[in-house]
Amino acid sequence: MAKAKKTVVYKRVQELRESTLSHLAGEYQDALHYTVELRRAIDGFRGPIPDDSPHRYLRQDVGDAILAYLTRVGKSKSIKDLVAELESGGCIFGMIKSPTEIVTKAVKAYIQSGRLEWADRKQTLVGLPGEK
Amino acid sequence: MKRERLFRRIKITSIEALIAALSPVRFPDDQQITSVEIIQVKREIRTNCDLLLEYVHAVLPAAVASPGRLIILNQLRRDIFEVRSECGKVSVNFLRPKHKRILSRLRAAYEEMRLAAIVVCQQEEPALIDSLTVAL
Repeated sequence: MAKAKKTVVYKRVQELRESTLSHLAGEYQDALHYTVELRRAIDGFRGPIPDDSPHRYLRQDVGDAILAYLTRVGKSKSIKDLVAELESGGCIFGMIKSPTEIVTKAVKAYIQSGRLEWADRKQTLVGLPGEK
Repeated sequence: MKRERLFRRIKITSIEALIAALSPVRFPDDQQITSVEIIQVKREIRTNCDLLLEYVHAVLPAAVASPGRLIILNQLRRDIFEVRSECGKVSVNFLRPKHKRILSRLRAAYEEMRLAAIVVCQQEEPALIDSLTVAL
C-alpha cells in the first residue's frame, strides 16, 4: 500500500517536472524568436541612435563605440571612464568576463592598428590620434 | 574515418557553429604536471586554435568593408598564432613531471586569445558572449 502510494507521488513529481521543463523550453523558444524579430526590426532602421539614449551603443561594437564617444567629447579618457560610458550606453558585455577586460583588449587592438593611441606616458588615458 | 573527413569539409562561418565545435580547455590544477597532461592540454588548445582560425579565415573577406571588424579579427588571428607558437615550445628533460608554472605563458596567451574571441563575438553575436566564453 505504502509502496503504491510512493510510486504515485513519484510519478506526479516526474510529471510536474516534465511539464515545467516543457513550459520553460517553450518560453525560451518564444524569447529567442522575439529577440531575432526585434533585432531584424532594429536593423530595418538606418542612422544612429540619439546620443542621450540609454541604448546608444547597442548597435555598435566596443571599438566603434569608443571611437564615437571620444570623437563626441573631444578629449582623452581613462579605461574606467570608457567602461562607465559604454555600460551606461547599453553596450553588451556578457556576465562572465568583466567589461574592463573586454574594453582593454579592444583598446589595445585599436591602438596597434593606429586608430587610437595612449595620450600619456603611463598609458592610462586613451585618445584619438593627434589629439594630445 | 570517412564521416570525420565529411565533417572537416564543413566550414565554420558563424559564431553558433564555432561554439558547437569548440571544447573547453581545463588547465591542470596540480602543482606537478606530467608530460602526458601537458600534451593533452596542448592538443585541446591546438584544436580550438584551428577552429578559431577556420572561423577567422571564413569571415575575413566579408570584413574588409568594416575597419573595426577587420582590426579585431586580425587581433584574434595574431593571438591564435601566439598561442600556437607557445604550444610548439618544448622544455628540456621533457619526460619528467614539471611544475605547473611551465604552462603559465601558454595560459596567459590562451587567455588573451579567449578575450580577442570574446571581442569578436561582441561584434557579431553579443547574445552569445557567455556561451563562447564557456566553450573556450
